[in-house]
Amino acid sequence: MSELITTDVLVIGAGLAGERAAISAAAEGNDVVILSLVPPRRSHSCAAQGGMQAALGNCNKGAGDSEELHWLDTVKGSDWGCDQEVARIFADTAPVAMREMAHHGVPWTRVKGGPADYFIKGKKVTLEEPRENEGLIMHRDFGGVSRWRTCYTADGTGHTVLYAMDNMVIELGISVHDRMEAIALIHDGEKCHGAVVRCLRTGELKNYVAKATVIATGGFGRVYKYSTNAIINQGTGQSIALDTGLVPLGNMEAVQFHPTGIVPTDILVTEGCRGDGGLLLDVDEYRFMPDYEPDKQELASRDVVSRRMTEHIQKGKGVPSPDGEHLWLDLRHLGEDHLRTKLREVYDICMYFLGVNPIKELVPVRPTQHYSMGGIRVNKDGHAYGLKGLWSVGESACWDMHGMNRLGGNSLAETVVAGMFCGQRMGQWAKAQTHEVDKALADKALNAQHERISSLISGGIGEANENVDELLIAAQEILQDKVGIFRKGEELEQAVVELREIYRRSGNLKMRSAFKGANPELAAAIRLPGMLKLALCVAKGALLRTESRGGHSREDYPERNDRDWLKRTLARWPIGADEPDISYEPVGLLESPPGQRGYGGAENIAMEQSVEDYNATVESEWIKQGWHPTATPLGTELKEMVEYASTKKS
Amino acid sequence: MSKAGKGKEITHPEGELVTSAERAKRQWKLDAISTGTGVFLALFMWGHMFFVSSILTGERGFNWISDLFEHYWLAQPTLVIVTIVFFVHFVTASRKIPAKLAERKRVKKLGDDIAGSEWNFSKEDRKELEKVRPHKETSLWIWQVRSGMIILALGSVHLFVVIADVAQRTFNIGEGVGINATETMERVQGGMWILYAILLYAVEVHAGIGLYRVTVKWGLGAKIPILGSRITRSMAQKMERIVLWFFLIIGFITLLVMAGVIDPPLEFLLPAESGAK
Amino acid sequence: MARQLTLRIFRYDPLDPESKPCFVDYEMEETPRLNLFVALHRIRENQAPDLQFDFVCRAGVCGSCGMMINGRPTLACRTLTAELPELITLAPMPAFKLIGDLSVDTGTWFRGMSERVESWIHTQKEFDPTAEEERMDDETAEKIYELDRCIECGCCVAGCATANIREDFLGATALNRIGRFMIDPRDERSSEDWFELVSTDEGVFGCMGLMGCDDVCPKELPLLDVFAYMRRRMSQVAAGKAKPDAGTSLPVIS
Ligand SMILES: Cc1cc2nc3c(=O)[nH]c(=O)nc-3n(C[C@H](O)[C@H](O)[C@H](O)COP(=O)(O)OP(=O)(O)OC[C@H]3O[C@@H](n4cnc5c(N)ncnc54)[C@H](O)[C@@H]3O)c2cc1C
Ligand code: HEM
Ligand code: HEM
Ligand code: SF4
Ligand code: F3S
Ligand code: FES
Repeated sequence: MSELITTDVLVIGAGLAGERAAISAAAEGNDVVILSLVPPRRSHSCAAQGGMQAALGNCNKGAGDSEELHWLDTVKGSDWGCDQEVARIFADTAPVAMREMAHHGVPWTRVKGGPADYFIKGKKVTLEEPRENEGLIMHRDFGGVSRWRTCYTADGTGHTVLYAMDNMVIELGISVHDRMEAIALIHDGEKCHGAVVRCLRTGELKNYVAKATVIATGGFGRVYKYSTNAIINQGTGQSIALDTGLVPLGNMEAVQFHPTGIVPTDILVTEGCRGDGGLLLDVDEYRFMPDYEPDKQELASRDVVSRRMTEHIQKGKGVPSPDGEHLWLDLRHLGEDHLRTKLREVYDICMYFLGVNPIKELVPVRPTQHYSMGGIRVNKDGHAYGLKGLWSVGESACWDMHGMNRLGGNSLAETVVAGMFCGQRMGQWAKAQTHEVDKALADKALNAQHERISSLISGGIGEANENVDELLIAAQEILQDKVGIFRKGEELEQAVVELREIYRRSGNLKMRSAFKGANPELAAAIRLPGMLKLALCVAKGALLRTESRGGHSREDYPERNDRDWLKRTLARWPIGADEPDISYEPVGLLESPPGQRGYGGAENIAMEQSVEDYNATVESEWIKQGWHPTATPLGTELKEMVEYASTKKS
Repeated sequence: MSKAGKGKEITHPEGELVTSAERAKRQWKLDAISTGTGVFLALFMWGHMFFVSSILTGERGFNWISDLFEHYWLAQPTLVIVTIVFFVHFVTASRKIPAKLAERKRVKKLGDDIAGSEWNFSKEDRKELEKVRPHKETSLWIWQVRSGMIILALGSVHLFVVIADVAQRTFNIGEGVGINATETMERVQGGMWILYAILLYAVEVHAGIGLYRVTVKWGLGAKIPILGSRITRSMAQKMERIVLWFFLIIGFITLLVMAGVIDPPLEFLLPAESGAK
Repeated sequence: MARQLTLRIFRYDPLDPESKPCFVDYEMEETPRLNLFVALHRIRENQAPDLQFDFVCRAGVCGSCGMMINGRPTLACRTLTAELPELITLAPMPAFKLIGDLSVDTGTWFRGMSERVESWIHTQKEFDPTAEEERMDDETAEKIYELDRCIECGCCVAGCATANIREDFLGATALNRIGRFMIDPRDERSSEDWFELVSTDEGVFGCMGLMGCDDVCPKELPLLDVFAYMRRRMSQVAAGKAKPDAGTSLPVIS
């Protein structure tokens, strides 16, 4: 009946993570097909401006950097909520990943030996850049780091890396099917066999059957009302995994707010602005961050800066405007040259979208939803819990090197490192599997989707009186208002109740348009229930986590609680249920025991258990949660793996 | 290209087998020829203008020069060369002209649309952002094609006339006086002025746009050392404007003199007695 | 008083045999700082739920939203209605395959383009994960980045009359892409390698210097400078005088 496409590896998502994973899988000798909602180069990875972290230590302020320091900053940044082993795989592989991208064409801004002027903590300083490193990759400063380690290409890092990556994909001849949306996974309760896919050109459904299926669909920021994310970041990848009822999503309540989204359009201006010396000012044009964070000032981690900004606005120091209160970002002192070269995108964004000239004027900013630490829970190989053959990498995954807060520049680096590392593990795994094409199973999955869509088309489902846009907006507002930067028990409870109601109503959708081909209203209707489910996972996870850690900040539980909450939240959605089932697992083996971050200034409740006792239970708890044993044990072999993970053409 | 593509044999539209490198070379040559001949003709027209405008100093001046040219065998080879180049340029340049009317219309419409699209911008905004840059080059190209067509028709007639003149003198046919002011003025006053007025305008516009385009296409300014920098597009545009008006004005005054509407304004330049010959 | 805007939008669904290409007017009141991204979504929410158009980043960086706005190809997401008269005409970009209404298939076109120009670093060197990265001076890196900034929006193709009437013409973005690799010292393709692809009527010698590309490119890429550089370099090859290290001698980039 319907068209069926078979391949060894199906990658859903053509952002950096998906493409890098596809390259690794192809290098292992697999046939690979990539699906994407949009042409690959339009994926949201292209919008990342600032840069990606890797401990190369090439510049003056990066001297003495090491993978060890990068790892420690990452663990601290996560507020000890991450899997420290994964953070180590990451930190150790990142330098290789940057160099590999340099080899494949990323121009990277380079070290220019000799004296250079910078703005550091509000002051102009001249530093001597090491001449012996002339021409190596340059770094800029970012929040929450002990050394300058962010590799960048002016402020088009994501763009240049994605273009180089897509060039590799084209060179290898990997096919990308764009304007194709995965709307359900094909699985038999044990193993994932591919996905049911809807063509956004024609509206047709197709089955893609594969030995390994990789979800690399990016973040789900669009469940919030104000988000810096692209409008396609609607979390469909996470929701089709959730729909299986088997695969849990990890730490969904860990949502990052970026300090500098512009007002009103919520477009991001990069952390590089502050990294390069930009300052935050209040209504009196007073620089307030040093009062809160004397050491890191504007460059504390994002969760901290966003909270401080919100606090300051709540003190009545915000700048009133028709679009709500905001603060100022001051870039004027960086000078025209710098703004028009190294921060050119920022300049353009201010000029085009705000009509503000950052060379002469202040830029209105406020904290805005930016990144989802949470996602499809996977093991260290990127293999999803609960369903064999399903993998996930990039922002859609909870590989968990970010814990409850990610550091700026770490996620772009994660996409490439995870794509490289997990992609290889996945490729090897797929290679060892035999192809079993169970056509009946695939057809069944497709028919179920077909029915869902036909009932939407033929006058809607249920009582059929609900409007897609209205429901989505209502849910976005609830998350924005009640599951925002500061969270409170009662509000979270209300949010859960209200979202549950909206989710129920989404069963009664009524379409307003006629049905031809790739109708956009229909596409939105297909996505809506999934998005509402994600919203509920966020709200419920936040309600139950009665502590403040990283990006999750409870006014009623202001302290970080290592005694009770050194845990990762897992949300599963049993078939037919109207809210997620929440359970927990330990965060992972503790190498660095929870301590002080040195910024943010919250109280901690110390662990009672010893680190050894904690570590002893880790693995057994994981297995209980549906974890697939990793292909090779980790730990001592890390260094070795880093080397082999970096092979592209084998 | 690279390894696989190198020396690949492909069938040329005309049917012979050529390698892609040969084909590329051929296409490079054709383009170079059309540009080269265009530039040559444009430079020739400037020289031609100074020659013809000798009429501004009166008939004697004009005759003196034409006599000189023909006597020393300068005019004859020039005529042959220019005529050949004229047609070579026509053949190579018109390769680029879309064959179908619909295509030419499409070019025109697109150019007009981009040029004419309405936006409300303050001058300052425009300067800061270069957001909506005015665009007229596409429409100008259409004018280049149109003026080219006019030149082809009228220029051929003109060339025929002058060739006839020069040939008469060279081979002593008929009166055999060659190019001379009296005949020229008779011709012009006898109605040829219309042809010349149109041709003059067409040539100057065509050469002006053409040279501007060549400057931009080849980025000539990049290497000009005296300027210290290169000629930017807007500089090239300004220069084109100045040169265009300069030659148009001289050309039309010349035409007015030839048509007998005004007296030669520069007659005082020549010593009076030399006319006594 | 807020202006009353009329958006005159091209509507056509090529998959629907009953659909005929036409323009449909949608009225709306202008609000402060309204841009076409918001305006089109409002129309979709309130008047035409089936209206097709493409936005992704809505921040002017992904290149999805190129369309003909009052006859000029540009990015819709960063176009404020205040810059336009009350009647705003929106049409899909020509030269690309129409998907429906304002949406065109740039993805397939650009993939084809990348394949045609072999848009990747050609090198014999294997990547060595243990070695430090190959050095490059910052100026060269900046120049490469300058050309790498193309967002594949397609405006330059839509705004080029040559590309509009000649399907085989590479188009400004492809020529720019070639220029990007030509000046990249990591790419080992020689001038002669490039010659076959670039020095043709499909390549830079097919470009008639119409300059529409340069005028409409929303990223203000120095397209004309790149073409001039390529013309000169290719002529050196034709004259048999190609310098082997012509690598980064791209002249001034404004
Ligand atoms: C404005 C902004 C700036 C940022 N700047 C930085 C920075 O400076 N440094 C840093 O480290 N990080 C930064 N980040 C974060 C980082 O960019 C992202 O986390 C990262 O790019 C995500 O990459 P990805 O490959 O996981 O997903 P994406 O790049 O988002 O790609 C997702 C892909 O999945 C496809 N897709 C989605 N759903 C489906 C489906 N159902 N079927 C088929 N395909 C689907 C999409 O088409 C797309 O191709 C920034 C994020 C934003 C929003
Ligand atoms: C004395 C007369 C002429 C002069 C001085 C002249 C000059 C020029 C110049 C300088 C160019 C620019 C070349 C380039 O861009 O590569 C040009 C281009 C052109 N000319 Fe002429 N030309 C003349 C006659 C003609 C004639 C008779 C035609 C016939 C139709 C013609 C048609 C064209 C066309 C179509 C182009 C555009 C070619 C392109 O863009 O590549 N020209 N001409
Ligand atoms: C070597 C070749 C040429 C010679 C010897 C020549 C000679 C002359 C002469 C003698 C005149 C005066 C008018 C007349 O006697 O009829 C004239 C005018 C003119 N010629 Fe030519 N011509 C030549 C080539 C061309 C070409 C190729 C063109 C353009 C296509 C051209 C365009 C004109 C124009 C426009 C005028 C009028 C000038 C004015 O009024 O200012 N000529 N030429
Ligand atoms: S060159 Fe400019 S106009 Fe053309 S695709 Fe690239 S960014 Fe768009
Ligand atoms: S508009 Fe077209 S003809 Fe050339 S200069 Fe630009 S590619
Ligand atoms: S939506 Fe990305 S450029 Fe307009």
